Amino acid sequence: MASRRDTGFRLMLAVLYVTAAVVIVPALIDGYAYYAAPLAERPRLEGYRLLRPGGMRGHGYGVVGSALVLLLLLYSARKRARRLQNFGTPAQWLQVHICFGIVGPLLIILHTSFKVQGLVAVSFWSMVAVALSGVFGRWLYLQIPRNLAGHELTRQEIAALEQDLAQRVAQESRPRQLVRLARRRRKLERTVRRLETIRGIFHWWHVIHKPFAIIMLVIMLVHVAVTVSLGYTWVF
Amino acid sequence: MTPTTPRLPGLRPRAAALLLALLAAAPAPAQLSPGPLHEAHRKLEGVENCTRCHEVGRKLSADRCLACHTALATRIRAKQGLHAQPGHEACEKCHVEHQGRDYQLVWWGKAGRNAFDHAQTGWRLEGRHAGAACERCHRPEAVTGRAALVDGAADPQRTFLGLRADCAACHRDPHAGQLGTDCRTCHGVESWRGAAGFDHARSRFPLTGRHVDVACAKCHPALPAAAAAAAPDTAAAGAPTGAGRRQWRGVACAGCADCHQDPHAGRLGGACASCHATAGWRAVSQARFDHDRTRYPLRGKHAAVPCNGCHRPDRPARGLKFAACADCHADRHAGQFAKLAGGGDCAQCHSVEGYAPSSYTVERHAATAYPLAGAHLAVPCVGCHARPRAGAPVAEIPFRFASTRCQACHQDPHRDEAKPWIDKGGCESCHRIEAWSSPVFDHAATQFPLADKHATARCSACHQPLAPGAPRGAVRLRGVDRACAACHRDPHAGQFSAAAGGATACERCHATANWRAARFDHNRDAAFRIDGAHARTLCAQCHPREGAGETAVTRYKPLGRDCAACHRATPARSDVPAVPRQEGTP
Repeated sequence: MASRRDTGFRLMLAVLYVTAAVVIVPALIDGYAYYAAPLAERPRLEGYRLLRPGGMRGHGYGVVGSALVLLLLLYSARKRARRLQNFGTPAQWLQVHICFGIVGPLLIILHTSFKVQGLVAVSFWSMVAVALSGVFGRWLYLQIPRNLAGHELTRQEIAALEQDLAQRVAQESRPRQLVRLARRRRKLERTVRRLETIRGIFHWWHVIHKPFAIIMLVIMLVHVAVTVSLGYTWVF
Repeated sequence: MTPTTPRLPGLRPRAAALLLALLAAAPAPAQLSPGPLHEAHRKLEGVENCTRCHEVGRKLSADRCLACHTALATRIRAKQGLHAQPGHEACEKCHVEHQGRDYQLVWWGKAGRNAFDHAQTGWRLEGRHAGAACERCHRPEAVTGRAALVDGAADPQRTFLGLRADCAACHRDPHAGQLGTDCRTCHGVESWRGAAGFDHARSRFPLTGRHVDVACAKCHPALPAAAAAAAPDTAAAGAPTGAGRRQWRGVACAGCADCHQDPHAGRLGGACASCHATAGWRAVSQARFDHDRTRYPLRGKHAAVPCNGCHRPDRPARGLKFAACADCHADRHAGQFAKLAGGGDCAQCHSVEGYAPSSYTVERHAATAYPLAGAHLAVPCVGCHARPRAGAPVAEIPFRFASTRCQACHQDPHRDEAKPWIDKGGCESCHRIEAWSSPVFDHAATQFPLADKHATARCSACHQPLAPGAPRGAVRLRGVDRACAACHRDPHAGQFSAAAGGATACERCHATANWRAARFDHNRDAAFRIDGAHARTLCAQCHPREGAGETAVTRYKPLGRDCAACHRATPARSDVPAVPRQEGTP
């Protein structure tokens, strides 16, 4: 049952990535002439009305990208709201968080038309910092042993895992399996050895990732509020 | 084992990071603008000014723009100019902002400013205006109403507003105010030069004839320097100078002499129009022109010659020579009289009354190297001075001859029969100038001197034509047979030829005095002696005529000498014809 649910999730995730690629890649190709042009020349180009941040497509990229950025906050909300914890595993939420954290900024980059200035640039570069730190965080995340559901293993569970591996190594007679188990055991031992260090770094990672996310969100909301208030509501 | 988190004194880690991030963001432009405004809009920078252009909930508002740009707003309300045209309601279509201080704020379209359709402004550029650079007209110094423009948020240094529509707004008045201010009365936009719209016919001196083609500057002199300098300049650079700075008004035009010099130096008076018209200086009216007022009054045939007969385009009236006929007329005699006294003046033979007839006389011919005499006096001039061939020009008519001998004019009608005499003494050997047909020839000097009847005979009786139908004079003169029979017919039908050995010896009986047989003695020369009654008998009693008509011949021999040969008493001889007895004869 869990396997079937996991397959469905993976399919959904693949659809999300493919959809994002179908939108972003052609948009980059189609708008290359515009995006590659110097800023001063852009208003004279054919695609200006469409691709500028306030244009129909450019504004759309911004709206969808911002929406995805807002949606990925549900990952944080899920951590704090118990009701949401009934849906999916932490690993799945993280996968969605990462997916939106990749696609959303990419769309926002298209929205900016690679032109970043003003106060909203703070939001943008904060977003870049958050996204890059997210990549680093993803690596840190993989360094911490977890169960199938994605929950972090306790010390007891790690000790049990070490003991289990030691027994399986002792009992295994097939050379290939023995080598594989030995590697897993050595990796686990290395992980356990630096687990404290990783945890320490991961704690500080939050110090980077979250505040920039907040800055990004606040300024983005101001940006959105100002533009909406001035009547730039896209299709709405 | 509980993880330990390093803490900053007095601050939670996340709050500290947030503070650091905000501090890091502080140097960023503290505004929400998508980019710097143009220099002209610098004062609108800042969040607090967004709504001075952007209307809450309504995006960018043209009304907000026009709230400042009142100069434009006024024109739009008056439906004037480009911004009042449909499709120009949204300012940002052409004026993209937030692109930087020095961004080109006016977007002229992809084709650029030079391709701008100026007709949209309500002022269609035509003719030379269409190709003019914008700066030629849109010059800051040409902008009028500057204060109002400044109040209306238009920069006089850059605005396209404020130009007057009259020509003087851009063009200098090269006429120095002489012709008013409405240039378009005369000039079009196609070209300044030529003043295509100007109609000289409306002036007090309508142009006619050749005046139409005369360059303006020929009559309209350049303005005096002082006047030109004092002329008002209604615009600055870029206007034509020089060519138009001429005196267009007040040009003296009462008389031709105001512009033209009198080539006649006053000899013919000052009323040029009495002879000349504007159709052309050379087109002098014959009806009106009195040539007697000139130094060459027209007489005779000259009076009827068209003016251009003498005053040809290649021979202008000014300086035209007229002292000698040859000044106008070609010498039709090709200089044959050039060596005569007086240089062969035509007037010696011809007059203005006509080239022909010539006034040359026989008396004057007498003074030449060949005075006319005799029959030559009656010969018409062309008898000697004839064209060498039909249609030959007068120049080929000979008036000078290499020789005065007869052969110079006359052909030899004798066809060399008279060559010995001509070589010796010319035609004059036989002929006299009084009449060719009466030759004077000493026949005695020939081998056949003429005597008696021969002396009175016509020449042609003996000198026969050289050939049948030969012209007069072409007769045999030399080698003429001197025998009687060469000229005379034998009336005896050869009765005496046997005795002369085949030729009749006429001279035995006949002489040149007359035809009678003066030398014949019957008793001496005939075999039948006549005496007695026979001596009284008519010849014809014994010598009868035989035959009839012109062939009738008198029988002389042979005749019978017996009596019966003549007398009837005796039987007639069969071989002697009987002589019929005539009444009155025995």
